[in-house]
Amino acid sequence: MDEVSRIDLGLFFDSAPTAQMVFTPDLRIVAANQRYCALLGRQPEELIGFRVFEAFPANPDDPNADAEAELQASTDAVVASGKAQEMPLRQHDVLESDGRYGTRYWRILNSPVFADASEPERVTHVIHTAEDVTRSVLGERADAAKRRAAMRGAELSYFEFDPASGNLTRSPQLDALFGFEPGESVTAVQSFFDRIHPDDHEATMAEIERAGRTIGSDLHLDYRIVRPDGTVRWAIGLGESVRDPDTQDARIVGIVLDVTSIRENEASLREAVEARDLLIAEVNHRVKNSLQMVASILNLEASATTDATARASLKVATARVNAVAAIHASLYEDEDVNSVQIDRYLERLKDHLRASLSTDRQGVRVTLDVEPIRLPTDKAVTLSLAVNELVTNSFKHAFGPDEEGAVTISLRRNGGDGIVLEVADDGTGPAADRLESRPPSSGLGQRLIEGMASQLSGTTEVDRTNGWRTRILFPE
Amino acid sequence: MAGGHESCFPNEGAAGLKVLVVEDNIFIALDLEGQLEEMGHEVVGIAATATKAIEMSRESVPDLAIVDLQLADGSRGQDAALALRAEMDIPSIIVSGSLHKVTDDERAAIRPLAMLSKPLLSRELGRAIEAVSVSDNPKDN
Repeated sequence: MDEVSRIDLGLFFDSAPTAQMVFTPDLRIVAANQRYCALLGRQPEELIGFRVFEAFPANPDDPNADAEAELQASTDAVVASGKAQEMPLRQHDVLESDGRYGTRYWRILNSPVFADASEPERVTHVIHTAEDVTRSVLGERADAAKRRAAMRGAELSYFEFDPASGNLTRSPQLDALFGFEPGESVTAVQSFFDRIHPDDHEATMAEIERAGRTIGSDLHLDYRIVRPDGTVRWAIGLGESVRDPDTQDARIVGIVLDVTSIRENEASLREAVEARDLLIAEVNHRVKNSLQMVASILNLEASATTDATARASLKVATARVNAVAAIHASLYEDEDVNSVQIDRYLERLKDHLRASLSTDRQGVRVTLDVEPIRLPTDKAVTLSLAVNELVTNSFKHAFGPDEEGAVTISLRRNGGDGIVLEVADDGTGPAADRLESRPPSSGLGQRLIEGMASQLSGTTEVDRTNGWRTRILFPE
Repeated sequence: MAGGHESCFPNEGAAGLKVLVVEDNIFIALDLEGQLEEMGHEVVGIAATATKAIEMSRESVPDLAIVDLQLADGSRGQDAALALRAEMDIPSIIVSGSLHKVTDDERAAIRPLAMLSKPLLSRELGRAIEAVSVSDNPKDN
């Protein structure tokens, strides 16, 4: 007791773990403890002797700052009643040392001090206990804002379903999603189930039952809602089953997401793709039909003409049209309309050339030696025409009417990024117009081959040993 | 067909068939006519619509019809081919730029001898006719 009596009682005030300040009923500060000074960022000499709102001026940017009046009112009440007063949670921004105001929320208790022994009933001072609750206030607000944003912005609703009782606890968004009016207080979960699209009803029920059977299992719902006005909404439900801590029953907790706009976009995208496919099919059909018509016109012309030379020219023209036409039959076979699997195409062209050319040369075979290569369509068309010219040339000039022989078409990569097309025949019989004396089918044919090679940015090579061999080298 | 002795052409063998051309594009129709005649067949007529094709078939009873799918007046080659098959047992060769439009059911009902894609390569038609008559009618070869 002796030791205690020697201690200045002011030390208890100064060391108290709560922030405290003492002022007179007219709000003039007489004391502030260490905790208070630390919390407010002030030295005692900056406070003592000053009025509260001289020391802590209101934030001029906060139009609602009327803390002074409120504090005075609370103080007056403490003085009048002689009892402690808790002030409502309030904001009073504090001027910091750098001249800025910091947003601060305070919980404040004002308690009376009776220091005048001659007037023991009179409140002489007020002890002002301040608790800074800024962090928790702002945290709660942020959380509430996040919840609101999630519910509003993402068309999200929350639910808790008790399969045993049929109780469905949920956020109001779920009622809106199912087309219930705000005033309609729906209690039975059946009302919700009744609005699930008939085609989705069974699967939805089965999934809810399944999730309810095993605690901890995930719930995945994907269903349509038919509202009373006939509109359909698409929804996704995600959740899991948990055990209710009170009843120990299974309960399903989750969210429902309105995905109508996503589904509608998917549907219109699907329609657009279908329309595009239809259009491509239609264009494809027209191109094929038009090419058929061109070939037919040339055929008709050829049949009508009595002049053998003119007829032959028309046949050559027809063959060229057919070489282009055959490419179109190969196009659109797969997804890629910009390029052609040239090896498969050459297979077709070979059959066609054999069929159309073999009338004159029954004993001549056409063989194909190609590796799988895809070429852009325009290159493929050019290549196809070149093959047509070269093979036609070989048939015409390399073999006599009854000679046996072979024409080989090969297409290979040459190691680097180049491709080599080679058409070779083994026509060495008497009918073969050998060496320099062998002319191209016509001036036009030779010019076409040269032209097509340069169209492919390539070069040509001719080798005349053992038959006739023409190579076109071009970059891929 | 397993019997092997009956031609799929009711009246004749492979050569000298009576053929109906069902095609609304006159150039293509005339070209087909020319090709068929060159092969030794007789073209009994050119029909541009399904109705016309059925009418002409009833009159001239061809051995074979060459049938395009998209015909004049919006009628469909499938319908003509089906009627020819069901009513008169006349077989068809379908020639079109859009063969995928023939459904599996239609194909099963029509039983086409061949389905050829336009543009037809030279001799493709002739080989198709030969192929069926050779495989189905060995006594003619």
